[in-house]
Amino acid sequence: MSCMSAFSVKFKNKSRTDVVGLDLGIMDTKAVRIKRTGDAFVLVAADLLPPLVPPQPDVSEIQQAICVLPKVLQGRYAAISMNTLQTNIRLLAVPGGAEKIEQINFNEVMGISEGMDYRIGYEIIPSDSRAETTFLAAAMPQTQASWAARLLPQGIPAPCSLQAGGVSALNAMSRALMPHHSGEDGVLCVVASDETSGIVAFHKGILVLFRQCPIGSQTLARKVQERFGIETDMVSGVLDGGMIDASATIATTLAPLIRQFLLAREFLERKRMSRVEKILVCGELMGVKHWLTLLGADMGGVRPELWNPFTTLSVASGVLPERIQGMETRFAGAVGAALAVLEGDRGLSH
Amino acid sequence: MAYHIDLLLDDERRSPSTIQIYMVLRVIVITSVAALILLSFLLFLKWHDLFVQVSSMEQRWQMLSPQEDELQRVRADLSGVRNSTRQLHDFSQTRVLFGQDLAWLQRGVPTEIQLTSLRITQSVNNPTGTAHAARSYELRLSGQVNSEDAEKDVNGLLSYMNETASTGRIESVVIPPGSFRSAPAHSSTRADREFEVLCRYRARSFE
Repeated sequence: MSCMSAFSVKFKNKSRTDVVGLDLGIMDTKAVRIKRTGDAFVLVAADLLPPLVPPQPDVSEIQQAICVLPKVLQGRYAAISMNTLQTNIRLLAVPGGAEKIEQINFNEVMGISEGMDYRIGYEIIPSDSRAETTFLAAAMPQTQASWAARLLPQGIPAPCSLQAGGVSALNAMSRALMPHHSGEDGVLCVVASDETSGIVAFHKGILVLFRQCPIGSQTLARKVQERFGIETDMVSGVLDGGMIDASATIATTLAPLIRQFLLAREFLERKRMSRVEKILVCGELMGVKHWLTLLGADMGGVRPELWNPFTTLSVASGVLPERIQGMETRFAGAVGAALAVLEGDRGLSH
Repeated sequence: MAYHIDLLLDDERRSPSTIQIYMVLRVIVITSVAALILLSFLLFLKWHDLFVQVSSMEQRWQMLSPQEDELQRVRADLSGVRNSTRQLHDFSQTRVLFGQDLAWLQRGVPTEIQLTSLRITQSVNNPTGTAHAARSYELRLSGQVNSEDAEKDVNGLLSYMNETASTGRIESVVIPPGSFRSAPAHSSTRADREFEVLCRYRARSFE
């Protein structure tokens, strides 16, 4: 990178002090507007907006949606975060230095089938092993990425970042964990979205594991709807209200996720010789009490906690509308997307 | 560290500025072209105006040209007349009225002296240090005297003339060296003498 382009990137990052983070979802779109004032990040506005459903990657004709933000959410820049069933995130390692990353077949390691057009990016992760380079890679179908990039009309906010939802939520969580959990004990996190969930393990403040499961809140909702033959509107009542005991169905549906979660705990214990100190859960958590019960079942008394991403920000009183109170955990993706831009650290695209 | 894997393509990024750079360039180009066209039009109008003025002037000149020739001729004539007038005036300034001087001379010549010749000469020269020419006169008298006091009589005439010279019109009155002498021997006595008197007038400038 030449001096001029390095200066340009630095200048751009410095100049981005007002960013709106958008986390697209099937139920709704989470939007937060964050401003940087010195080293502090201030939450200016947050809201839930109508859903923006990305197209299927194999459709020939895309119906382009337009997202017009309320005035209070119109920052200068927009960081978009999106998780679909086709979005793929993997924590990988290659023997040797960072230059070896360019030599690997990304389609193969990311499990992308031939003929599919994907955008792939990666970021090198600090590691205590000198023999290999660890990197976090994300892949998103070209169709969906292109659709997301054109969501915002001309003017402000101007799109400046597009991330896989799991990565942006991970970014938000890492910011919360780093100062307090750099000790020997590990931290397990679950980042749930509509169609997928990410299981994350941090050890000594470093990301050591990321597993993506194709189970999300919508997967759970569909299963419950199918099992009990109820209307879509009633699903949240069943999951959160307890009008019908759906714990067995929920446990069955979440079983693969819970299995992965237990494997993550074992990974920390056996590979890192570390016990789990903390379990944090955030994202789209329909039937949250079931999630917390199932995730904490075999964790040796460590109780999963719902993580509120706004705790890492300065929040002025009256910024959060009443309708989103109690749902703060769902904003992890939006907060992480905005913070990634404000902190000015970009990964490499492939 | 921040986890940020940006999947946005460079051509999908936009500037948040409401003033787009290409719009600014477009406005600059359009404004420049418009200004150029306007300037060209104004220059054409100016050129046309000057062209019309030149044509009009040429027509007027053709009408006035004979009058101008006549004017030049009259001016040349006037200049010639003025020159002649000035020369005449200058000459009149340098003139000496010899009638008065001869009457004055008649009154001062003693009875013992007989004037034999009177010659007036003039010369025009350019005195050193002056820009204008000057006219000089010389009055040369020749005469005879027959008396025992011939020298005294001649000196008396000289004194009379010098008194007048002091008034300023005459510069000097002298007897040239060797010009007071005895008359030729074949027809005269010992008392007969001949003399000459040279009277120089002050130079008169043509200024």
